[in-house]
Amino acid sequence: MTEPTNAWSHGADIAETGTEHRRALLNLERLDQPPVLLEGAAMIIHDAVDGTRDTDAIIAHLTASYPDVYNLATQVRECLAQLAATGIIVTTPTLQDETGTTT
Amino acid sequence: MTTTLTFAEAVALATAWADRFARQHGCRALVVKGSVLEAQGLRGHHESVDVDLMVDPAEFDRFVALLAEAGWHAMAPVNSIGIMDKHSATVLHEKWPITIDVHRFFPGFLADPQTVFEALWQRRTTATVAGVDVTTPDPVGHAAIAALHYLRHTSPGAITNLVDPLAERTIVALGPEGLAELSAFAGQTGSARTLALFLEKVGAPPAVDDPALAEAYRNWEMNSHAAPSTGWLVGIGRQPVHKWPAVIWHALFLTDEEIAEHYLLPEHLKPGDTIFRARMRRLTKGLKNAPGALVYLVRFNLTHRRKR
Repeated sequence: MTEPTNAWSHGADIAETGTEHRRALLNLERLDQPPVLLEGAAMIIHDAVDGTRDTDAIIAHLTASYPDVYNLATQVRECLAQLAATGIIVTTPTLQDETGTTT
Repeated sequence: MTTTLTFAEAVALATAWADRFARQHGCRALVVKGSVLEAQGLRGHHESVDVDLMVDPAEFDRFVALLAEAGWHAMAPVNSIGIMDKHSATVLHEKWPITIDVHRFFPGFLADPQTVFEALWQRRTTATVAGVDVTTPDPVGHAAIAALHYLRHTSPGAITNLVDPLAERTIVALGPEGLAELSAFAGQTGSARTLALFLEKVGAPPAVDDPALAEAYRNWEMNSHAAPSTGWLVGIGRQPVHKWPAVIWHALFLTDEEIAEHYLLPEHLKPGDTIFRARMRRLTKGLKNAPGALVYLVRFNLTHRRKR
């Protein structure tokens, strides 16, 4: 049995620059929008977006890496919502089977 | 998430933005200089503080108006009447820490701006900036642009520190075939004489300009060796005598808007600065430079007369 889910992926038309610790992004599909600068947790969450994980999978992935972070799920949800609002990340419908494999 | 960008971040993203904005509005534009010079092997690492964009001259006014609609407003130009025509508009945006210089033409290419743009456009290529492709001159066109940029005000320092390293890199980046193309390109764009020193340094075959460009070359030569304030004197001299009082008054004092826009920028600002103080500072400097500029002009005109 498969269930539809919304995996997050990076926007297709994003200009990106930065360093190991900062990332500046600009959505070229929305030229009237200012750039977005990611640091710290926001950058880690952005990195966790890989085109296969939905919100729950990203939370699970980051919880495994950062088990002691307080209120991690809320932080991740808020950050993903903000990134999605700017079009820096987008959802792509995928199908997920019982084993968690996305197709 | 924040939006406070460093200069380097802003330059990279604004380059991508400007290229895309031009394409979106059907305006041909080339990203010039900046990190592309580095990517093409024509310059070492360099931190740019602005974005340079050369646009189709026929579309320049429309493009600057479109930029204004998008929040990038042109700085009020000083209505100076200098040696060379105004070649670009500098636009700035309240949400970006850098400016974009939009070029109608590039000084030193003395042929008609449209001819020059078409020659550069024909040779265009793409380069990656901020992870996306932008349209830019190929290394031949770009080497010529960079050389003209460095040669616009000749000084021994500029030759040693800028032109010589560019020449060394150009030889490697272009190879013998590219150097021959550089000569042909110089002839095609009216830059055979303005680039003569550079062509010689890279060992490119000599090029020849259209003889009709002699007067334009004279202006280039005058400008590239000019002492400070020379542009104002030349400009005044080109006006009818009955306009001199008004033109001289403007040259001395400028308008309040011009002083505020150009002489009260953060890099010029002194503690307790006012428009009056900035104006007096500029006036003092200008009057100090004026005798040198006058001597330069007289000498230049005498030399030029002897050449003819």
